[in-house]
Amino acid sequence: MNANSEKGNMWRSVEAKERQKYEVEKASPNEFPAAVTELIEKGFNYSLDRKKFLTIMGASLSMAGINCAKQPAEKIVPYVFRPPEAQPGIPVHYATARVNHQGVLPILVKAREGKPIKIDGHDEHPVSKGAMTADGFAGIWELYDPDRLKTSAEKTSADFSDIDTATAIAKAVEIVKGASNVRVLSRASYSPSEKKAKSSFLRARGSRTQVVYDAGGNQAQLFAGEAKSYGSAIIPQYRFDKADLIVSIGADFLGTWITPEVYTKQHSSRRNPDKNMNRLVVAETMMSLTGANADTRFPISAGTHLVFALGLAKQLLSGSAYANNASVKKAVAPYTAEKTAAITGVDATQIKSIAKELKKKKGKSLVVAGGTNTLDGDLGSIQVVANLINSILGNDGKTIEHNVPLLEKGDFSSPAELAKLIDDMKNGNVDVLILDRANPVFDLPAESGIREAIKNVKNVIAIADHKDESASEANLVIAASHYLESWNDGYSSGVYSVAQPVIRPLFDTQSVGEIWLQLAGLDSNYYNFIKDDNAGSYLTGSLNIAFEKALSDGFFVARRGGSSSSRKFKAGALSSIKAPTEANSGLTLTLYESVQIGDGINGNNSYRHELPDPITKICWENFVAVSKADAQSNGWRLGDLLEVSREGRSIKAPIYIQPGLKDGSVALAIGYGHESIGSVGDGVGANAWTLAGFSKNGSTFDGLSVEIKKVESGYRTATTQRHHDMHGRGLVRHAPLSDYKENPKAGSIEHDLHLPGRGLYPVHDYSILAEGKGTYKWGMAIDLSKCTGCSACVISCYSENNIPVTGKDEVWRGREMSWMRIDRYFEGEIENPTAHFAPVMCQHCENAPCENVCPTNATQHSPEGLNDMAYNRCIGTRYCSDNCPFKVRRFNWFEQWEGKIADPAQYALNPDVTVRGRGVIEKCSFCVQRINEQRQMAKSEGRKIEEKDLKTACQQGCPADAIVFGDIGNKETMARAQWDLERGYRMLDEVNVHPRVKYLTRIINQG
Amino acid sequence: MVSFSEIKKGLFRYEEAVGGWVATIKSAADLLKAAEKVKEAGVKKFDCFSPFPIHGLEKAMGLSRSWVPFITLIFGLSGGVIGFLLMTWIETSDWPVLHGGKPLWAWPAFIPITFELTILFGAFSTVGVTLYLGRLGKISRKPVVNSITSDGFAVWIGDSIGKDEIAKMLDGLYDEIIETPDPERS
Amino acid sequence: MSTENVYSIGKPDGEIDNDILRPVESFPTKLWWIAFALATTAMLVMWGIIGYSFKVGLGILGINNPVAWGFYIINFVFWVGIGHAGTLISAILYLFRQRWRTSINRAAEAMTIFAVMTAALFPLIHLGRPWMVFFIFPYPNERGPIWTNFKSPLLWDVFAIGTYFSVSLVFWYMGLVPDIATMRDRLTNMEPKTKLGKFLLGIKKITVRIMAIGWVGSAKTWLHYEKMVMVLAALSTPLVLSVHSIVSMDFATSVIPGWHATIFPPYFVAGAIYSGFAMVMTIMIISREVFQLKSYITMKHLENMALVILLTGMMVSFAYTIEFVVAAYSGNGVEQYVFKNRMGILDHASPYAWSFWIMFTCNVVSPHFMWFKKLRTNITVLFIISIVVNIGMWFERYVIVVTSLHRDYLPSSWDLYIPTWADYGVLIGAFGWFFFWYLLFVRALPSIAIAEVKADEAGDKLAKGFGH
Repeated sequence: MNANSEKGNMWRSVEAKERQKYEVEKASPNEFPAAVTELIEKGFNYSLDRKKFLTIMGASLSMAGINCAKQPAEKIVPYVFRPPEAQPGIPVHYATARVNHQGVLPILVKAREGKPIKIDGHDEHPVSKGAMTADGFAGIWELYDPDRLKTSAEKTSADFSDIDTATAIAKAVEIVKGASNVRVLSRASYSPSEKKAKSSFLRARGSRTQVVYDAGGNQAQLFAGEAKSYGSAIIPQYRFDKADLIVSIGADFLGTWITPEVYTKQHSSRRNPDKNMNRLVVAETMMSLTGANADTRFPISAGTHLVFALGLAKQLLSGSAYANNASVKKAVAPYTAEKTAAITGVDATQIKSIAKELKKKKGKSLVVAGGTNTLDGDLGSIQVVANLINSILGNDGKTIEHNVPLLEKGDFSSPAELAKLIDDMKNGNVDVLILDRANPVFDLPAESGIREAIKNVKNVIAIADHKDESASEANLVIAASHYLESWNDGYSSGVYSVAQPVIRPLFDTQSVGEIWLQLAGLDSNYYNFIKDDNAGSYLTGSLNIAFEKALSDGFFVARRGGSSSSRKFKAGALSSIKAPTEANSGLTLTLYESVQIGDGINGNNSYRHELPDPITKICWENFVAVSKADAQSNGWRLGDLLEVSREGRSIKAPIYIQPGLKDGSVALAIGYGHESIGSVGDGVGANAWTLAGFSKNGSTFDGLSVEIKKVESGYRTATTQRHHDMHGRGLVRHAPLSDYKENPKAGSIEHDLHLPGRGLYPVHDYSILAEGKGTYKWGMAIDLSKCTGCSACVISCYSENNIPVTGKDEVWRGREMSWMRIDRYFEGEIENPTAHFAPVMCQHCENAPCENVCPTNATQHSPEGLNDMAYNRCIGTRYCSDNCPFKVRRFNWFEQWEGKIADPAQYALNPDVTVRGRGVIEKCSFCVQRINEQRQMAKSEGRKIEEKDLKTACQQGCPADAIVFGDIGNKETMARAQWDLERGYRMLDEVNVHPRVKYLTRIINQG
Repeated sequence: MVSFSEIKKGLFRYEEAVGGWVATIKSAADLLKAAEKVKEAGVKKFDCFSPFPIHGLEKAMGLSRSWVPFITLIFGLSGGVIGFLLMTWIETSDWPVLHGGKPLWAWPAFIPITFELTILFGAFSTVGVTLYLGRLGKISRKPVVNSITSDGFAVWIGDSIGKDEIAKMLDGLYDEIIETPDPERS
Repeated sequence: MSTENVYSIGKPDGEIDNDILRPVESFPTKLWWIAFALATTAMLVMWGIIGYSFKVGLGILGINNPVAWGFYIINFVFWVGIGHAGTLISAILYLFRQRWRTSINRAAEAMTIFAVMTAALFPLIHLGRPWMVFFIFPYPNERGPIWTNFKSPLLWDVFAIGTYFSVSLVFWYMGLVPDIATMRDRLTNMEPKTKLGKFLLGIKKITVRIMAIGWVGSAKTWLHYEKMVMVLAALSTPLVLSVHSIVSMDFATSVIPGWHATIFPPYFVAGAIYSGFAMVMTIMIISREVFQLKSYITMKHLENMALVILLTGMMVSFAYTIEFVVAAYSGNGVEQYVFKNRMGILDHASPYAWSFWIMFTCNVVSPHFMWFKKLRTNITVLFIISIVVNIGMWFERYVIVVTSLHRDYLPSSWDLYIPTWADYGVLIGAFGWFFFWYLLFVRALPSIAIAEVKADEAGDKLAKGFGH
């Protein structure tokens, strides 16, 4: 039996824990001197007298004990740039990967005393280059989620009784052995080993045993589309960094589509107005993150994405290779510019002009289409059209690479197979249904009838981490480990990653691979299985060495990508396409994925819920987005609760009046409305899958005609931003590229001309005070041309600085604790406004108004220009908060930690940052703990802090590289370079507070 | 080294109206005249009593001017100066802290507190010195005549002169002359 | 005002004693008991809420980010303001030889003390960590050299309020001494029947004797005493002006539009006197009715107060106007927005315009009724206006604190302020706390300065004619 789960038991008895600790101390005696010598080398205490020595001994003894006790039995290898043994107070970084249905996310996990405390991007990874999303950072709290399954469970009669996982698996094996018709319903997998383990289980039972579905639909759609148009079922590499002109039809590639973190990095690398800046055009219904960042955005009516694509194709067709292709002609024929305009609600001229632009950029443009919000009941159809366009423009092979695809051997089943499975279940033809981390009851359209169907299955075995909607229908629930607890591997974009556990399972759980191995009856442990049976086919050279290297690096480049020849587009695929031929009447709904919740699989994470939606700034809820005109004509107001109903099914959600939404179109986010996932997620929002359509050709998320009626008013919606107009205050400054070319100061506003000079007192010179007391001058520059508002920085900050989550009611009162927020303003007419984003954290003003007014000196200025905050000197007058022009200070209205935090959630806290008690003010510290850690290192090595070593959490979290922090007193630094740029400006400079944060004017490429 | 008893004596060095005679007077006007007469007669130990302050009585009795205001001035000023110096020392040398880019010695910001301290010291010194000079604080003390705090007026003469002399001194102004018992003598 | 005989009571001194000390020496009336019961309940409710907020945190209040100051600070400024009238009457009018102050200054001073006691509550209970309040006092300590921030207006407040309270208190007490002596000597000829009565009287005798600190009305004492009163008055005058100026600096020295106005100090002082006099008026009207002191607090007194209210009312209105003119003239968009938002003349909704218009009607319009002798000599009218003015002044602070904060520089951080039950509870409880003390005062101490009244009376009789 596997070592993990055995040791897992130790968590349930103290004596056992002690024993374990003792064993470990015996086991590795050589470790303590190592720790100490390390310390001496590092020079952490130059005069290491006997007393100190013993202290350290003692410390390292105990710590080493604890820390080893929590490390897995197999040898796991830390990231090379870090000391190999965990030392008290010194973080260890492990390079690993999150391998799940979304793909492979290379990550770097920061562990302190053997406990992972933060997830960060893996900078060295050839594809991601350290890019992260809010979703990626949130993983740490899912590891420590108190509501996670602590052990497996078995349904005896009505309710569940706990059994340990080993037994559960044994029972499962029994059940399966006896059964004749066994089916597996699962989510996509990017892990070769997992697939292999599984396949040896499936092999015995026929190929159609497993059905793989995609709740959000993004990948399955792309997958199907590729298969139809090129015959190769892959997910290709989109190279947004290679395209001068990007046209996205509904695809939210900066927010939720496929691998947003990678796409964001690629995209932002081209958002430098001084170099060859790219141009982004988006046609979509609900304003997505991508749409909000578009240089030009076309709001189109719900359900008309395909029409727009076809309309565009028609414009481009003439003179192309496909001009005379019958099926192509037939497909696009009805969609003349005028017709398309009539249906989608875009001007005919605009369509023409976009086509013109595209024609100019043959081979240097990229057209992407798809996403949850474009699923129209015919899976992949829109991809086919997009591929046609790209083929016409000759982008395929240039900005779309397919020789080393993102996903090669995808195992998605067709919608038909899914439909069939559900029928079989209905008719009782399924004896055993194994749910592999799938929650179909929650995330399949209600129309599919899964809820009823699953009841007719004799035995349901759920491999799950929560007792979610589907698991609670099961007879046997096998507790699966979190990805940070389990061995795994992943293969994507030609890069093989070995995912190593950074902590032994907190509870009695097992990794999914492990579980499948046992179900398949293979007598091996998963670690060996990965290493011996799989790694070999990707790694080169001596397996042991290569594997170890792969572990420490976190990845191994198995196949290099690069540009490739264009593929032959199968025009025939177009013949099956059916698109609406006239504008839809009445209210039409489109369902979309939200940045913070995604497909809702991690719906029990309070941090995800507290993170405001990037566009609407609403949290703890999904909402019905309607246009202003519709709201007025129906007499709906903010604060109304609406009931949306389609074909007898209905859900209730609050209204939100969304600028840039076409009249007659309504939008609603999926992923909300869990009924049983945990204390946090249950009952938050409404389940939009209730309204989605289902057929054997694919689910329908877009263009659903619905009735809406108001059921309640005075409903309290929690939002972090109630006002969306900038009132011409030049807070987020922006200028068209053309203007910028002439005047680098373009976008600056009139009152900059007469900024105040000195006031009552002479201006304080920091360069002088810095002398001797530390010669740094900390400052930050934020490039608004790059910032997409994706909110990854916000979550990264939450994780680094132990910021508490306050809950819906408190957020409604305006008491969210976020140290940094992303201000979002709308400009222009409400039908199609421009959205602007600006991350705002403490600006560390040189003339900080907050410091003058604090009676107790709790907040004061450091010689290096940091606005320091001494929590235990603060008595909570909140005067500083009042006097802060940026309102970035946060007050602890209630106790947020003491007795509020459930075990094991406390392990997610960063030991380097004080946990603030009730009644004190807190705020962004420019990650002073990181500065000081680096200061120590530098001091002990007798050098200055190097810029590459020091990154604030937000800077590290930013996939767009929009945030740069560093010593602006030093001419060599990147921060200084950015700081000196001419398009830089300081927010509220006219107040004469001299912020240490500079914003770089957002440049918009209007073509 | 001053002993506590001495300090106590010093504080309550009040010419108690014991021994001698007390002449009760009808009205404030008469009291003024009476005081005048007694002074002219060259009586050393004498005092007047009234339920309220009477303007000009001090002149009539030939009392010297009160120097309460000087004390106020001295203490008030010293209070202000001490406060300002203390703040200067703290902000510049004892614990120099950088606030909102202001100079360490941001003297304009010290003015309000300096002012308040001036007032505080001034006021308390005033009250203190009044208690001392007015010889207040001996709670066992009794008024020469009970009606003094209501509607009575009186003159007390401590010099050893006879009742008839006093009667002659203030003829018609008094309604009766009582001998006050002197605890020490009897 | 001239010192002709309009204020003379024309009663022998003995009777003046009887009149003024009647409420102190007789058993409390039913009316008093009811009032006292109400006040005490309200007060207890307040303490309950305060205790609860100490336990769970300030979250029970409506304040948030950006409106981090709410009812508590509004009440603080309001009550400090109330206090000012007392000092004005006892000090400034004294220096100006305003004889009509004589019969109201004792009560007014008492009001000052209790108002400041009420005000002083709020800075304490609005703290996030009240148990750490000692951090704001500068004293040498064991935490290494660590001091308070002398540049902070809040610290200025600590000194201003502290000085103001202690000075007012001694001033008031010293004024009481001769009258307490009177009480002391009246107690000697009291004969209680019951044993309990004897016991209580014994206690009362001792207390009063101690409080009278051996006062025997010697001319030598009167000499210095009179000087002291003069000096304290001279000190209190700049003090009272400074206190509200400093309170106003909490706002004036900030960077928040609608707060950082240079006109604040004089404007706040005027406002303070305005509301203070209104409060004195309210209290006087009640007590002269209840304690039959009509011959002491005459119509003429009330009329004078009415005129002061009219004057200060106009000063306040002037200050409002200036604020708007400056905003308009400044060319500062943010500043202008704040004032448009106050008045509710924007293209979009301004959620707190109503509070501005309440303030406007109460403070700017209502005092002008005082122009008409008929109205300003009509008790009911005076009573109503005095209350209306106080409502208005409370809302003035509401407008300053809330509307300025809820929409400042960054529209992204704009939010609403919605008070909770706790806010309202403490608002009402504060009045309970104030009247609890005031009602005790009128039972325990002479609410009119006996000696001063007698002095004025005598002054009329004496040919020379003197008096204050």
